[in-house]
Amino acid sequence: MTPPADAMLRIRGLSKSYGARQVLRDIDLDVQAGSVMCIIGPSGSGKSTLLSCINHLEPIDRGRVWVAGELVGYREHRGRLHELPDREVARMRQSVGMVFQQFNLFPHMTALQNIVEAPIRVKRVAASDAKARAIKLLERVGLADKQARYPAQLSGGEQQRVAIARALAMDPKLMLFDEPTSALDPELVGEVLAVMQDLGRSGMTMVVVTHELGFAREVGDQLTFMDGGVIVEQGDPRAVLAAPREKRTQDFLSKVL
Amino acid sequence: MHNGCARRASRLVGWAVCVALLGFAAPGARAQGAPPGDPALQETVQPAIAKLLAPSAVASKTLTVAVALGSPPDDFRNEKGEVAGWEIDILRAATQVLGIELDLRPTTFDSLIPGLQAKRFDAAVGQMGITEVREKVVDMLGTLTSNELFAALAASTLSVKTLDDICGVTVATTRGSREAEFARLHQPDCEKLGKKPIDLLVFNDGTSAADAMMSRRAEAFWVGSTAVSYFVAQSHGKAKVVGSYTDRSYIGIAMPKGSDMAPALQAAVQHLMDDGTYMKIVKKWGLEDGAVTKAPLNPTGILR
Amino acid sequence: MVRRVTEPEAAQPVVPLRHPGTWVATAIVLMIVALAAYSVATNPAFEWPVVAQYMFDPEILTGLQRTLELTVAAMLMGLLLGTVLALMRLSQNRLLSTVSWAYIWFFRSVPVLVQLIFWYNFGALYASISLGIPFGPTLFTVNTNTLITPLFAALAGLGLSQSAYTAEVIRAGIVSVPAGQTRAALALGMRRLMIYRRIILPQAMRVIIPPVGNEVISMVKNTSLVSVIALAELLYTTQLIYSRTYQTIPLLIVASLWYLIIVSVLSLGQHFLEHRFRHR
Repeated sequence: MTPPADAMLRIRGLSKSYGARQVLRDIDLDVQAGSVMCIIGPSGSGKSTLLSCINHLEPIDRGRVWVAGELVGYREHRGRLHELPDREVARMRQSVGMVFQQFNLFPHMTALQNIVEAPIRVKRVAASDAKARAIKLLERVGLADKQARYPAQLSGGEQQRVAIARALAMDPKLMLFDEPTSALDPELVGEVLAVMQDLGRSGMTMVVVTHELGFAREVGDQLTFMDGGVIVEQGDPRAVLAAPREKRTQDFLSKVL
Repeated sequence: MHNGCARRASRLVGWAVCVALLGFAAPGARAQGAPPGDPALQETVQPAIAKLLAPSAVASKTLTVAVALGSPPDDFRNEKGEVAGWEIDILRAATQVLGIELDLRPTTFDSLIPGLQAKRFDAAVGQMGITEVREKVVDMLGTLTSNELFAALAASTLSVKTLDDICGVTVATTRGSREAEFARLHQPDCEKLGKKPIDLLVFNDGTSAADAMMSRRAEAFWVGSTAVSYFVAQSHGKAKVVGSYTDRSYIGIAMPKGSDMAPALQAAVQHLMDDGTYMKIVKKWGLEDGAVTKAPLNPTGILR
Repeated sequence: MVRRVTEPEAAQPVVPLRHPGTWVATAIVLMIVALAAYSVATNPAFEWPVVAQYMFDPEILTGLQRTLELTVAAMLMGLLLGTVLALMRLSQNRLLSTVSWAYIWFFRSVPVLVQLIFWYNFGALYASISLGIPFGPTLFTVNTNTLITPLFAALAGLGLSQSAYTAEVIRAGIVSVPAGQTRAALALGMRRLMIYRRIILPQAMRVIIPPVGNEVISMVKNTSLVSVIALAELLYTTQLIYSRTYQTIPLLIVASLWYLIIVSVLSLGQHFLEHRFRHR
């Protein structure tokens, strides 16, 4: 299989099981550079697992994932996949940023320290440079005055925005969002979605697993509906949401809309 | 529901009663009467001496003695599990002279003195060396003098004629022993001779000290002659005696300071020395070298 | 209709609930404590002059120094080796985790007393230790008792067994950190050891410090076990003295007072450490 020329993310034939339970079945997916892909679906449909497979937080059973033309997590040799050593996988993960549902900020560090930690330790960026960059990122997400606060002193929405800044600090080519607003109080959802919208408009390639259909409609370039480990329907968000072709999509949307 | 509660409650009471009974039974098992003695050492009551008994002893008709168990032939447990030893034989004979019972309480060395001070025991034995420092705290009745022996591995070239010969030598002994005291007092002499000080390893008990010598931690093992002779005999040729040291101090029975048992006990032991029973006991355990003819109470002019 | 609060009512202070029972109980407790203190202070059987005489005796202070040295050394060994063992136990590598498990199982099972005696008497099993190539020349030989000094045996016995306990405490601390922390750190491109060092262990300290503080305080007392190999630390020194002079109770009081002082200082230290590692 040849790596793609223009797709930032390409997935072919991805399958994964946890023991006897098959969670992902033969997934194919393309995400063009600079576009925003939204993935929706009921819980248990495999959406989060799919994201974890993209940056090799979870190993895969079958199939291939390419990010920016590079095979993720494995090396192909004589038609077989050989798992790459930790060192290689860690290096690849620098180009894929991830934002989690539970924020996962480091509680013993301030907002600023959270952001500069990886650039300093992993990329060996000079501390002063990292700090300057971090302050710019905090300004971008609207939290310039909160740099010395600890996560416990920030609201959920503020924590998630810091988490986004932390992921951006590594200059990723691709950003993954795993239900970024599901753990937030309703009034805080908007500020995070605004940051994500701004990020999408600036040209970042994003894959967003979300329940926020309004966001998908407004910001998404592509919408994917997953159910039971397979992709059921895919297409332009406005088209799919207005007139879903598949019955399962219709059932799902009728429950949430 | 009511039935079940009642049943559970009665079971609980049953268990509590069992535990309580066990609790009362246990202390009774601890205090030991004297095991039957050697008939050859049997003594008859001496009324003249028995008159010296303190009123409390007359009332209780018992002498309660704490015993710090060690190794043979001092106070130890024989194959039958009974407490035996030369000090036990002397105590038994003395109480027979006084016409009272002997109640032995095996205990650890550390509990002896506090126990005497708390008047939990009338007397205590445990191969206790009499020193003037100790006489400040308890009354002591001398029953034997002993000398000390040095033991080493069979292949050792060590030979100890005077304490100068152990300057610079690693010697294992036990806590609270006269040997530890002698070594401490001899250190200045080693220094005057220009030799290295005695490297003394002090262990909690004789067995550990002997082990240290056997595993080459120490060159020599130095404790009372009775214990050393026994140890060398038990080693079946692996260890040998390499020297001896005779001191002028006594081993004896300790009693609370100012105890009213002292006069009676002293008279009883003296009687044993006068009528030959004492020599029989001493010969039985092979301790003739240290036998005395008088039983002094709180002797002076001895090891400080 | 809502009744409006008038000015005087609004200005009235709130009187908190009074607890007369607590006052009475406090007074009784204080009285009991005072009576007990007076009784202890004036009872001649305690022999307080002897306690005062030996409290700063050179022999006692040397024993005290040895207790402190052994405690510090054994706990340092326990922490360093314990961290390595905990990481091994949590490693993906089957060999590492099994070796660590076996070590912890063994050194937590055998009593420390037995371990001390065993190390001390190693010379009885192997008179000399050599290093060489199998079926080849010997590089050097050393007399066992020269290599394994009593101090070495003490540290081996105390430190190795302590490391087994500390390993489990550290492992529990590491496991207590939410998995999301590791996932986020991995997603940023950090590698395992760096994640342990920068992200996991600092957070694990909150869970680790109280039990380890406990262990340090226990170790202060456990060092007294080295008496079986004729090393004189604080407690054994007092035992040696009272075996000579028969002044058992006052000497034991001297030991207890020193232990009280040491543990008080350590507890204070633990308090400050816990404070420092609290999440702000």
